[in-house]
Amino acid sequence: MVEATEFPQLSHRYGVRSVPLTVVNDKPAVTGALPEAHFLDHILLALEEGKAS
Amino acid sequence: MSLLRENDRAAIIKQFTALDQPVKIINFTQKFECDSCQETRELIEELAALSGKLSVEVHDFVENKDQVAKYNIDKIPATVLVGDKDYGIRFYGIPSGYEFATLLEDLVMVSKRDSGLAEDSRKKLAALTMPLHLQVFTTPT
Repeated sequence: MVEATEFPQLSHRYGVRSVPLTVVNDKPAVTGALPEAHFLDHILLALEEGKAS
Repeated sequence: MSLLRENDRAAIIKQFTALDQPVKIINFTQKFECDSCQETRELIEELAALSGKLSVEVHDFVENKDQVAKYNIDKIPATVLVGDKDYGIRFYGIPSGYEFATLLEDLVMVSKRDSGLAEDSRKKLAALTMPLHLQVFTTPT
């Protein structure tokens, strides 16, 4: 967990506008709360995309 | 002055009956504590006093380079939850508001040595071939 208001530079870096925002390996990936299975699929997808880029 | 009110404390003690194995809460702060550093440390100390299964270690972010490196801490206040091993759980900033509930739940999970994840999620995660670093940004409200 990162408290967005205490670390404004980091929040700015990832463009945090609404919370929760989940950053996957340094890239903003999921906004909001999702059911577990759905959330994990988004994370794994972001991980794959990060690998490709 | 204590941060936890009497009825909060009673509710937390009730939730802590679910604790099983010991959990070490490692807090990183510094000599001249920022407001949230001091509050975070006090909150954790008050919390740990509510169960014999919880212990606290406080480290100085500036002076204790070994521990800072060991837990890979790059900002404070930082709170690390450790069970039989370091599961990579970090709270940066004060775990207050909704995140206080998250902290309590995480303490119980670490104590049970069980993430509570579904079997299917565990399988997918076990198949990971590269490091996965998750940062969840939240606000205290």
